[in-house]
Amino acid sequence: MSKALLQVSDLGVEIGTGKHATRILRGVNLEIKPGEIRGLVGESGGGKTMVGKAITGLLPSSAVVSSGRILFQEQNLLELPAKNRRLLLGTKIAMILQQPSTALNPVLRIENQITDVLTRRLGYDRKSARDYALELLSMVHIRAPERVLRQYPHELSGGMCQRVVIAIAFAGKPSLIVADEPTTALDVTVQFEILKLIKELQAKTGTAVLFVTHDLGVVAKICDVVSVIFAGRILEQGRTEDVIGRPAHPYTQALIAASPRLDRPDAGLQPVPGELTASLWNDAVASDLEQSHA
Amino acid sequence: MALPTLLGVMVVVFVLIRVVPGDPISMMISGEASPDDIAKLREAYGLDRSIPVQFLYFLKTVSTGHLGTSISLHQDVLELIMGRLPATLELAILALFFATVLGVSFALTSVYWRGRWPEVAVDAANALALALPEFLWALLLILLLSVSIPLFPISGRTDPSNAAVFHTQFYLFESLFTARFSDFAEILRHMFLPAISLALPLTAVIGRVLKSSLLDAINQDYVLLARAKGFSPLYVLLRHALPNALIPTITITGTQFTLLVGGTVLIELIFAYPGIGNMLFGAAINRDLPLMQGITIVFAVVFILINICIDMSYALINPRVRLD
Amino acid sequence: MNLTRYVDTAFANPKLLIGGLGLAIIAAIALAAPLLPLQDPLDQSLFAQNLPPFWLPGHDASYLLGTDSLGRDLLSRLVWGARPVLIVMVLGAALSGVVGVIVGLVSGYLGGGSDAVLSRIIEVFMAFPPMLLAIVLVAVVGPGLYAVVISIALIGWTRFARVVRAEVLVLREQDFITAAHLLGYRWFRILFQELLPNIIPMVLALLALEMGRAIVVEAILAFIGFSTSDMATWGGILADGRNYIYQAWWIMTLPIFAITLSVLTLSLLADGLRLALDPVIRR
Repeated sequence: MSKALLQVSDLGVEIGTGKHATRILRGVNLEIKPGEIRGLVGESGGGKTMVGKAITGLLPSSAVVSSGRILFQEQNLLELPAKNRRLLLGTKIAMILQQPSTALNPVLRIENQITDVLTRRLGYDRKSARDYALELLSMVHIRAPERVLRQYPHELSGGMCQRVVIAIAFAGKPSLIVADEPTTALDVTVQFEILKLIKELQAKTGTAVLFVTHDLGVVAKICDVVSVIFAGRILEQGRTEDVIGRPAHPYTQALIAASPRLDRPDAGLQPVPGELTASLWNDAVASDLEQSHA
Repeated sequence: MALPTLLGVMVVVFVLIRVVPGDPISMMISGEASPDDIAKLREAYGLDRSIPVQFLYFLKTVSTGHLGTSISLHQDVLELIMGRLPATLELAILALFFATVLGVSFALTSVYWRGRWPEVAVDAANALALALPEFLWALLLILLLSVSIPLFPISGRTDPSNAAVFHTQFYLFESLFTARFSDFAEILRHMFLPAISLALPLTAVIGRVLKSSLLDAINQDYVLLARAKGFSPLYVLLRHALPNALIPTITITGTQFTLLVGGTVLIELIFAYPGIGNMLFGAAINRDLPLMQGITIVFAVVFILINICIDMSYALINPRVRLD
Repeated sequence: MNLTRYVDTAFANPKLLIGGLGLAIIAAIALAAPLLPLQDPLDQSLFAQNLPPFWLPGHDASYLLGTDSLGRDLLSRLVWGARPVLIVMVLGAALSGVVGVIVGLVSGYLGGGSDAVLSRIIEVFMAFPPMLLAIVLVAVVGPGLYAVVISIALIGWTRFARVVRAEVLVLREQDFITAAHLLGYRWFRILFQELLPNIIPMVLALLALEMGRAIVVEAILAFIGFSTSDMATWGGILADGRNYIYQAWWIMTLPIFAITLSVLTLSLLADGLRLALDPVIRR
């Protein structure tokens, strides 16, 4: 059994400080091995995006990590000086965002947005940066890379923008990519192509991916292993086929029942029962109270 | 768009100059003129015709660049103005430069150190700069930086003793581009207080608008992605947030720059700076109608030109507008 | 207790409190000038020129704040100088307000052709440096306090017109205006009974700002000798002090102090009014 690339243990995140602090993550444990795709699935508001932001160190300024460790290649990111932590980004850890249309800077040409990370972070000179940028664009199956380099984001479709963002993410051959709902904002047909692309590049480079999504169908297509998160806690995790085939936690069962299925289009959708989510929230808040009294 | 405004400007100038009680001609000439001379002058100015004809006549002469002859200085008005305009433009451009540099650094400072003391200090300075008009800044700066601490001269463009020869009326730019740095330093010293007084209100506007656009920009996804590339906070702010935040700032700066140019009228007066604003003051004291009229028209034309430039620079910085 | 409630409200909005008090003080000084035991502000004395104020060596006890270059008492000139300030600031702001509000209401409410024409006229007026228009106007009609008032209105009305027009454009789409139309109210009733009350708070704040601007414009015109010559003016003291800046710096300092304080006061008042009267911010 290979060593974990990333090991998150007992991660707690709060928004606000003192009396007004609200817990967002409550002791999250998560492990990613080199080269695997780990799904992190849950409803919006469940804290899944915050896990990704805590790992990359890009939490909003109002949020603070209150407990836990994030071991990446055996060093605790939370104890690293801010600058050293930042220098991991772009080289060893990269990100793919949800909204391709807003993720690229509207006033900069695509070329500059790819080459700035190459020249400033990865030690390329101008000439070789441009060559490598072209190579990256063909790697993400963009057909006219020369032209795209000259264009601005608003001249590209959402799918094209997401390909550029993916190219930027893979540019530094990182060991870990945090992909935060990378297909949610796209058309269904484009979604499928982007998923295929991520899988393909991941297999080629051996990069590990933390794939954050609300969509179990996507998880089934792409993830090796999956963690289910709700109310800031991991409820269940395991191999994808086990979790989806034989869900142990009632919340996972409900989530599966709520997913549309292509194989049984007439089966109808079951919303996640309100009593279930309410009781999960109650549990979470009760554990918060326990902790603050301890 | 500019043409109807220009026409309106002409109407206002025409009406304004003719509100004068009594006959403008009798004000223009000295006592010993014969009735014959007066009649000739009336004809020359077209004052013997009906008002609409007078207006058309006025339009025709003005559009061919004939702004008449100054009564107090006995020279062609356009020539007089063109001799002084460079000084005013130099002053306005230097002030714009100060305002931009100060305003942008104010905004960057308060966003980079947001939530800490530099933000508080910069915001307070901004509020003060905004509350006082350039007229008061000029007087306060005179008291502070040339009376209590005698750092800067308070009048003129150069020292009277300076024998430097200039080939253009753009003293500051000429001395800079011909690398005569001691002349440049002296001219800059003379222009410093007037330019700073002009610049302060605009500085505050730029600082405030840019700050709020920057705060907006740093919450955008593209800034998050730039941070995810591992860039330093300063690089992210300057390279990724600033260009986007500049777009609204430039529009505001444009409209406010016309106010700054208008402020030169006073500032030149206070600092005895030999530009067209100062010349207007002389014309007003002497009721030199052709000169006042000429200066008014030139100022309005400069305003309209500035607005056209702003529209163009807006297209230049925003790729989306450029395409449309 | 009603009184404590008023006190609470006042302290909840210190800008309004300080600004309002400041304005009251300016008005009180201006109105009370003839009653105060002051020297004649126009009285010259060849034996008491450029005397320093009481805290500097060489002062004369009968001239508390010193004298100007003609030996006139500065304290008295400052106090009497508040009178033209009061006249100009009230009349100038009121005239700008009336013209600007009417133009803005009509232009925003009627829309279409009249709006296009009025907007174009506003644009034309904004194509001039404001002070240039003021100076040219006074030069043409001749100096005096009322010329100053008219020139303030000439350059001030566009500010009201633009803001009011923008506000009316928003308001006229709202349900209560539609209701007024359905009830068959005539246009001037809708304008003055339905729309006007809604823009009053904003107009009050604009008026306070305009009063501050009027003070500055008057000071500038007085500085170049275009305001009244029968009264002491702050701008007049400034002009005198500018000539003796290195010999007698206090002459210019005193009116600068007075003008700056007044302008800051009115800018506080404008902020305070905006906070106090805007139902959205207040909530």
